[in-house]
Amino acid sequence: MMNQYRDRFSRVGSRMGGCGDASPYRRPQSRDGMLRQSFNRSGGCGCGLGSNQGQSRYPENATSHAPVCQAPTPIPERPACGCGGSVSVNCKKLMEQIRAVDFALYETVLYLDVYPHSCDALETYRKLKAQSDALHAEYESVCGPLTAFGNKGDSWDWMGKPFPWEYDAE
Amino acid sequence: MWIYEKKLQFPVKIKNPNPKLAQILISQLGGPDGELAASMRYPHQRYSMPYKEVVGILTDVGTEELAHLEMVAAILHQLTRNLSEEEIKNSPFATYFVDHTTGVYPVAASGVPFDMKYVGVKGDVLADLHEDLAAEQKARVTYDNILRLCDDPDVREPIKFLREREIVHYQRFGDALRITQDKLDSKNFYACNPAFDKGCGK
Repeated sequence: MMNQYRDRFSRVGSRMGGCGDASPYRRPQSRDGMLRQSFNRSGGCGCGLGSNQGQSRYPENATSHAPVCQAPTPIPERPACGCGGSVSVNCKKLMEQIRAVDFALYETVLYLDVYPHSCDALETYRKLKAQSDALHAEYESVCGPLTAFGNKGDSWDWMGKPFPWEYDAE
Repeated sequence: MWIYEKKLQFPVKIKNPNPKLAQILISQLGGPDGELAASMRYPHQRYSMPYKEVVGILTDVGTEELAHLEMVAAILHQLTRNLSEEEIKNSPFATYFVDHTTGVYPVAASGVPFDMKYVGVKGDVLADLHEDLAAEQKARVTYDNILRLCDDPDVREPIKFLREREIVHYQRFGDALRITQDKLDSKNFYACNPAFDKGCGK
C-alpha cells in the first residue's frame, strides 16, 4: 500500500526534498545566535522569464509577482472509452486512485505555498489536478458524492454509509 | 472556510480490534503533540502572519492536520469495535470506557483531556515558526514511540504514513523560516517583529 504512495510521491518529491528521509539540519550558529538552516533548497523558476515581463497576472499594487511561466504543455484529451454503454465502475479501485493522485497533488500544493515561483511545480500541479478532476468526476457520477456539493442524481446521497472511518469503507 | 471531503487521506482498515493499543494511540488524538494540537496551532497562528508563503503553508498544513485527526479517529474507532465487556474489563481501556464508552474523545494516553495550553500562538513570526518546527518533531517522536509499541501491520501502515508527513511538514516550515529570514535584516533578525511592527523587513 505504501508503495503506491511512494511511486506517485517520488516523482513529485524528488525535486522537493524532504520526502521522509530528511536529516535534521546541522549548521554552526552565527554571531547573532540565529541558526542558519539550510532546508532542501530547490525551486526557482526555470522558465527564464523576469519577474514582471509581459502580462502580469497580478494587480499593479501586488507586492510580489510570481513570474508568468511558459505556455503550459497541453493536457491530452481523454480518449473515448469505446465501450458504448454502461461501464462497470469499480468504486474501490477508483477511490485508491483518487487517494494516490490527491496525495501527490496536496504535496505539490504545500511545495508551491513556499516556492510560488517554481514553474516546474506549477506544471506538476496542473497535470495532477487534471487527473484528480477526471477521477473525481468519474467517482461522483457513479459511486456517490465526495463533498456536500457533489450530490448528483435524484436522491440525497451525501454521508451515506459506510462512513470513511468505518471498517467497511472503500 | 473548510469543505469536507468524504475520504480518508490514507486508508485505515484494521482487522483486529485492540483496546489496549487504542489506549496508547489516543495520544495522537488529544495529547500534547497530537493532531488536534496541530490542527489548532497552525490555523490560529496564520492570522497574524504578514507573509503569503507563511500564511499559505500554515493554512494548508493545518488543513491536512485535520485530515490526520480524522485518520487517528478512524484507527481508534476500528480498534474499539465489536468489543465484549470481558475484553474491556480486563484492559487499561476500562477507565476511558466508563466515561466515553467507545466514543472518540480527545484525551492523552494518560487520560488528561486535550488542553489548549499545548498550543502556542506568540504573534511573532520567528517564535511561531520555531514552535511549529518543534511541534512536528515532537509529533514524529510520538509516532516513533507508537511504532515501538505496536506490531499490528494494519495499524503500522497508516501510522508510518502519518509519521512521514510530520517530517515533510518540518521541511516546509523550515522553508517558511528561511523565507522569513531572507525578508529580515540579516544583521539582526530580532530588531522588530514583522507581525506587529510597521515597516519591519521587506
